Amino acid sequence: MNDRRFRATSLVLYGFVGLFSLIVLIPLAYMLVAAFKTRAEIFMKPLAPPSSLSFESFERAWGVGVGSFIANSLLVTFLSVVVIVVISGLAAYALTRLEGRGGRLVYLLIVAGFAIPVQAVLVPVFQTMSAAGLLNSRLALVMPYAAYGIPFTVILFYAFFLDFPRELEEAARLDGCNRFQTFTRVILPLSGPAIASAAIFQSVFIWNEFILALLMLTRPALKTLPVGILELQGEFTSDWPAVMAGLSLATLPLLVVFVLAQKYFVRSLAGLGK
Amino acid sequence: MSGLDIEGVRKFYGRTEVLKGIDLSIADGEFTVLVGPSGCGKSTLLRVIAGLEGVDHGRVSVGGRDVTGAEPAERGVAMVFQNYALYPHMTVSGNMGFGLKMAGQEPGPITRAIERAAGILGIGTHLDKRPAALSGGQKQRVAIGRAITRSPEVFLFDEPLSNLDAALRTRMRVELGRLHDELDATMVYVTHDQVEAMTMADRIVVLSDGRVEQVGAPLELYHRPVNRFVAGFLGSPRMNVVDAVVLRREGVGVHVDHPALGTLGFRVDVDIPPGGAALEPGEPVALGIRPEAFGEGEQTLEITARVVENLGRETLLYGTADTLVSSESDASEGDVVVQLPRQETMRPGERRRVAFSADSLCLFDRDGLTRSFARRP
Repeated sequence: MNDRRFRATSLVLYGFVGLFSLIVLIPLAYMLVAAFKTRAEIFMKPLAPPSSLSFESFERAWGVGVGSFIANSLLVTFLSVVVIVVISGLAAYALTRLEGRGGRLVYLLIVAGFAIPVQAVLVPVFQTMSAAGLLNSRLALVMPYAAYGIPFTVILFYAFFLDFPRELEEAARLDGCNRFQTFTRVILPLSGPAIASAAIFQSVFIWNEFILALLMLTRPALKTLPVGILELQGEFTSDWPAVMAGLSLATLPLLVVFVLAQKYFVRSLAGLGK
Repeated sequence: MSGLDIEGVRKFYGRTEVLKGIDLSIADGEFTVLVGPSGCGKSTLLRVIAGLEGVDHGRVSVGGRDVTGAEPAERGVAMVFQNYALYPHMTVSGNMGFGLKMAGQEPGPITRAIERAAGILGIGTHLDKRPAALSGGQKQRVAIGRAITRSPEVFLFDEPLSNLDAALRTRMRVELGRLHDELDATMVYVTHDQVEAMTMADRIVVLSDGRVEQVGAPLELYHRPVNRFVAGFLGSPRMNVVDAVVLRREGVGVHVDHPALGTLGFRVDVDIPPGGAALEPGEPVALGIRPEAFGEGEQTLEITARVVENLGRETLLYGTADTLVSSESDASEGDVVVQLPRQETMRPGERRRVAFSADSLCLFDRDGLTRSFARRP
């Protein structure tokens, strides 16, 4: 009886999950399939599979500079993630180990920072960067990305460090480590999962970020992938297969990372809320 | 010379005073066990010695050197934690050598120190493994090995055996004793297990509520507890304690009375220190008798058995006495615990007359201080 009810429940649940997966996957699948079609096919037979497996549209997309967009995105993402992880890690560790109410208060302020949407401060950020003469530099992206990634990452690390066994730190102190050595030699090597999940999470966000990149960068040579893809649309008004190919190229690296590291992704979020 | 001196140490957590003026002197090479109920401050005291906690008043010296403000690593102490606290990302030898590495020693001496410690503890075959691949007992050995490699002046143990199963605990207990003889080192050991305290210690320090109640050799504490707390804390099952009042004095002794049941009919010899408060008639006192002190004597007590525990070598009898109401024992309130040194085939509800001697009673005055020790253990 119970068994049957359990099976019915899981069937319904699987149904929901399946439906949701379809909603997410169909556009992705269509993008991939459409990238292999010819310009004519995409309008004549939008739902039919491509007649031949040609990589021409990929070549055309690459020709516009998708390669350099990817390189730009990689650089900006890498730099931002490094800044975010280093600052958030040190901050969260200090906040969890501070005695008294001070640490908690600063933590709450950081959490509050998480609640400010990017759009709300777009104009001031633009003006600041413009006044600093940083427009059209990668720094103009790395700094705001870091500022936006840090609150969330601090929350993530905070939960992790709060659970970190104190005895290990005490053992390290007895072994002659100062605070910083304790952090670098004992805590950091054991924080792999937290760092991995923070890095993946932020990479996904930064890789896809569009609005700041659009505002800060006008020189084509610096453009990141999401902004660069927009170029494709302007360049080939009717070349949808090339646009789709460009999008596929943009999505692929992230998809691979996600599939490889999804374990950390889920695990880190399961520990939030402390 | 690597003894340990603690002078007037006080420690507050916020407004709560957890160590209320501890004075303790531990001789070079002594195995000292700190015992007490949970929350008595024994672990805090150990952490103060280690330098993991600061003190608000007082001094801590290791080997005659004042280390009150020193960092843990500069104190010449090594600590073994209850849950091992091994670094999971390092191998066994990495764990054991980490302290020396941090101290800037060359790889050669480090390897020799690790091999020596591993040899003493029999973990030489595990040196390349990670802690996760070891059993609980092996982890504990590695944790001890980590302490040995640093060749500290004082070893500190914080309930190191409480995570092990009973059989392993017994084995490790013996092994720690052997280790102490072999290293001839000063060791301070915190436990709540009185078997560990009684068997391993050269000296036991009984703590209660942030104060030292008594310091002494295990058997001295057992037979000559200075107060009601120590008497009740050491020994399992606990000492039976009954409330009484002084009836009249007679020579070096007093006759006592049970307030509810009238005359108990025996005299207890007491030590009345010169200038100390005499036990005057009408003064409330308490009498204590250890469960194993029953057996023979001029006094008898009729007990109705409630629970009978046959342990093979001995029998524990939990029951109510018609003439005695115990105010403190391991049994439920009003029960008396009697330990009989043989197997007994008794059923609950059965009555049994047990004998004891007035000489085996402890007498505590109204402040809980012992005024008469059991003369016949």
